[in-house]
Amino acid sequence: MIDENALSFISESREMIDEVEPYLIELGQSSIESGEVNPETTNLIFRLFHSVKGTAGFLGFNVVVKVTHEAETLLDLVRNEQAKMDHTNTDLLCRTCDLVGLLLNQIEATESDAGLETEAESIIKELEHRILVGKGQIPDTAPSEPINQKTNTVQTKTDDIQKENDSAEQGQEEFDLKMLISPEMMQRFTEESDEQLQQVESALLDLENDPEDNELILEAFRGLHSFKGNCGFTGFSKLEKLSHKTETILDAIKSGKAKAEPETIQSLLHMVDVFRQAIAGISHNGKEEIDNMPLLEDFLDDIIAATKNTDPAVLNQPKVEKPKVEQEEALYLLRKSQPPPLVEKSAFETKSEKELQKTKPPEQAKSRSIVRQDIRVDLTKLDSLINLVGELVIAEAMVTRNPDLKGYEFENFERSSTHLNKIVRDLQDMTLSVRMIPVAGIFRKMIRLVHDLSTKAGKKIELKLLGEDTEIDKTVSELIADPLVHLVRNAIDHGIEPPQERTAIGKKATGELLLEAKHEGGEIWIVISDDGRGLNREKILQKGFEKGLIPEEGMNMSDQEVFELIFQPGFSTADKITDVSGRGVGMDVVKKNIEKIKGHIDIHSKPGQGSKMILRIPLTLAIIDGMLVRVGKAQYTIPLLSIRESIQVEEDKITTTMDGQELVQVRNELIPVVRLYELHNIVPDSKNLHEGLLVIVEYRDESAGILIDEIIGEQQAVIKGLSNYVGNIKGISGCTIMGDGEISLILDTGGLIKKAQSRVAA
Amino acid sequence: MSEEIEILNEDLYDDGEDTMKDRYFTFHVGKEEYGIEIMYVIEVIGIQKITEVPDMPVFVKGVINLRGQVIPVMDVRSRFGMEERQYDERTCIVVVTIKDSAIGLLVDMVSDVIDIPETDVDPPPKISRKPGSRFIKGLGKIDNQVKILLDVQKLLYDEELEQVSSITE
Repeated sequence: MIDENALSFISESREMIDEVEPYLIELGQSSIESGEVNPETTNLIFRLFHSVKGTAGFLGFNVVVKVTHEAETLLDLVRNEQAKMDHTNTDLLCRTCDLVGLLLNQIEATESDAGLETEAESIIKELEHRILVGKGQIPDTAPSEPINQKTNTVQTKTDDIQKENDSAEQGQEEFDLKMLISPEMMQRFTEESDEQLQQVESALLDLENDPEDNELILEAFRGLHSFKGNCGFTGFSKLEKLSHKTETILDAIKSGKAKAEPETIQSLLHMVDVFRQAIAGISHNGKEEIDNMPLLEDFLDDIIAATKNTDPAVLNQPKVEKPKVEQEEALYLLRKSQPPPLVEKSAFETKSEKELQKTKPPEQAKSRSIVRQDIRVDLTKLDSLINLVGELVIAEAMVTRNPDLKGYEFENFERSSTHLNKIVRDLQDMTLSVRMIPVAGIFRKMIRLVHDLSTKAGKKIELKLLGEDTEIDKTVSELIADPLVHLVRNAIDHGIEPPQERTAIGKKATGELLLEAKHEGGEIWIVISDDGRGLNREKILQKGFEKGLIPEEGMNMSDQEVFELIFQPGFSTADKITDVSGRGVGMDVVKKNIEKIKGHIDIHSKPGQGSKMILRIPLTLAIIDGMLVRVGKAQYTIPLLSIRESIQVEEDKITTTMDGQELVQVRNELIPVVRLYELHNIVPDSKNLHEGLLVIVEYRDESAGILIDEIIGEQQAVIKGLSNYVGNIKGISGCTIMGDGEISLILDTGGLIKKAQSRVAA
Repeated sequence: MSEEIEILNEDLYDDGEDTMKDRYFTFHVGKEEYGIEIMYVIEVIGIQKITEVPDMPVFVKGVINLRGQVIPVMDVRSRFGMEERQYDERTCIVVVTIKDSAIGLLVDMVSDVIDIPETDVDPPPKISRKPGSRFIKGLGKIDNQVKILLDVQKLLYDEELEQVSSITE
C-alpha cells in the first residue's frame, strides 16, 4: 500500500505541474516578445517548484528533489535576470515538468522515484548546462542572448550544492555534449515524437468538431511544444523551425487571435503529416529531410500573417482576403506535391509551383513509416506474465510427473511431454529475458559519481567500465544500484590514496577504479576493484573487538571473516565522519540489498595493493535447475549448479576428528560431512553414512558432503520466497512447489556449510 | 436535498469498511472462544500437509501451499503457551493477512462471525500473568458469553517477551 503522504504529494504535485506549464509558456512568450519577465509569474513558478521539492525531500524522493532543485536554480537566475526565459530555457523547464510528471507516475506505481534516473540525469544535465550559461561561465551554444554581467552576485546567491558542483561541471560539459545524440536517444526521440504527433493529431481532429474547446488546443499545443523541444535538443533545426511556426499558429488560436477554422486545422493536420514523414525519414536513415522546406515555411508564414491580421475587428476586410487565398493555394499545391506525382496539372501558374517542381519529393517518401523496435509494457503486466509462466512450469511438472503415471510406460505420452517440456523451457527463458536490462544504465551513473567524489576528495581517479552489456534482471539492477554507489564511494573515500601519497609509495598518481560485470558460473558478478590501500585487517579487527563483534582481539579469523565485519551496521574504521562516508551505514545497506536478491559479497584485499569487492548475484531470481532429494519425509531441492557429484561412501573412507566432525575422503580431498537431519531436526531413514548418499556440494572454495536418504530426480524449481513473516533462514534460500503440490525447501549450500561449521564450533 | 446527500453518503460509506467494523470471526482454542477482526480474515481451509521449516519458533509449524502461494502457519495453541494436541478433522487453518503477507492460524475449531458493538467490549484485564494475555485486545460480551478478542498484529508479530516476564514474575 502506498503511503498516504506520498499519495497526497502525488496529487498535489500533479496539480502543480498542470498549473506551472501554462505559466512557463506565458513567461517564455512575454520574455521573447518584450524581453521582460514578469517577476510575479516567475515567483509563482519558483514557489511551485519549491514546494514540490520540499515535500519530495521530506518523503525521500531524491530524484524529484534533484530535478526540482536544478529547475529552481535556473529559475532563480531568471528571477534575478541573469538568465533569460528564451526558448531553450522555457522548453527545458517544460520538459522538467514532464519529467516530474513521469516521476510522480513512477512513485504512484512503485512508491519510489527510482527507474527514471536516465531521464532525470539528462534533464538535470541540461539544466545545469543552462545554469552555467546563465551565469556566463560557458558560452551559450544556442542562438544566444548577451550574457549578463552579474556573475559575482549569482555565485553568492545560488548557494549550497551548486557551488560544489561548479568546478565539476566544467569538465562534465564535454562529456554531456558527446552523450547528446546517441543511437538510443535517437530511437527514443523518434518514438516520443511519434507519440507527441499522435497527441497533436488527435487533439486537432477533436478540435475540428469542437472548435471552442480550449483544453484541446492546449493539448495540441503541449504535444507540439514538446516535439519542438525534442527536435531542438536533438539538433534537427529544420523541424524545430517548422514546428515553431506551427506552434505560433496554434498559439494564435489559443489566445483567441485566430479561430480554429476547418481550413486552419486542415493546414495544421497537414503539418503533422509533414513532421511525421520527416521523423520517419530520420528513423530510417538518421537524416533530417524535409521536402519543400521553403514552400512549407512560406505556407506557414502566410497563415501566421493571416492570423495576425485576423483581428476580430478587421475580420472581414479585403486585406485579409488575399493571404487567405494564397494560403489555400499553397495548401492545395502542397497536397499535390505528395506522390503520386502530379498528373493533372494545376490550373494556377504560380510562383509556388515553380518552386515546387524544383523540390520534388524523393520517391520513397510516402512508403516510409516509423518502425518501432519496442513496445512499452506495464511492469505489472510483465510480472504477472512471468508469474503465469512460473505456474505453467509447476503445472507442467504436475502433469508429466503425475503420480498416477507411476509404473506405466507410455511411449507417446513421453514424447509429447518431452516436447511440452522443451517448449515450456523456451517460453520460460524468453519471458525471463524480457526483464533483463544491461548494467550499462547503473554503471554509467557511476561516471558522474566518481567524477564528483574524486573532485571533492581531491583525488585523481580513472574509472574503467567493463562488461556494460551484461544483462541483469530489472529488480536486481534496482537493488544493486545503491550498493554500487556505496562501494564506489568507499573505494574513493577510503581506498584510493591522495595523489601525493600515491606517488610517495611509487604508485601512479591517478588511482584506478574498475567496474566490471560478467557471467561466472551460474551467477553474475559485479566487480568493484581499486588499486588503493586495501582493507586494514588490523584496524577492522580492533574496531570489531571494541564493538564487541568478536570475542577477543587477534583471533584466528580468516581474511574473509574479518572483512565481513565491515558489513555490520554501524561499523566504520573511519576516524572521522565525512559527508561521504564514515557512519557505517553504507555497507549495511550493501549487505541488506544483496541479501534480498540472494546474492553474496566476496572481499579480496591486499594491503597497499587495493581491494576488490565481488557482488555475486544469482542469474535469475525466478527459476533454478535443482536436484530433488529426500531425507526422511522431507524433500529438499539442491541447486544443480552447486552440486559436484553424489557418492555412496564406504565406512573406511570416513575419519572423525576429536570435535566430532566427520570427514570423508573423496579421491585426494577430505570433505566435511553435513548431516542434514541433525540441522533440521528430522528423522531420516538411516543415520549410517554408508546407507545414505552424500551429495558433494561446492560453495566458493569450500565443499561439503550433504547426507541424504535418496535422490528423487532433477527438476526445474520455480523459486518462491518463504514469506516475509518467516524471514531469512540460514541454509535455506527459498522453497518451491512440486508437481504433487507439496513444498520443497531449497537448500542454500553456502549458508548450510556455514551453519554446519558453527555447529561444530559450538 | 442536503439530507438526501447525507443519507447517500452514509450508504456509500456503509458499503466500505464500515461493514467490517465491530465484526469478529470467532474460533475455539482449548475451552475458550476467541475473536479476531473480520477484516484480517481471508479464508478458512481445512488442515493440510505442513512442510516443516528449520530454525523457526515453536509456534510456527512450517509452510503450506495455498494454491501456489507459500504461506507460513502458526499454531495458536502453542503461541498461547498451551499444550499442543493432535490435529483432527475440526482443526482449521484461518488465513489472515496483515502487512500484505498472508499467514495461517491453526485453531481447534472455527465457530462464527458475530457483531460485537464497541460498547460491549471491555478492556483487557490489567493484572495478568499468563504469557498469552498480551495478545488480548479486549473482552467482548455477547449473550452472557465472553469472547476473547485478539490483537492480530500482536498475535503475529509481538516478539517473545515471556523470558522477560518470567524473570519479573
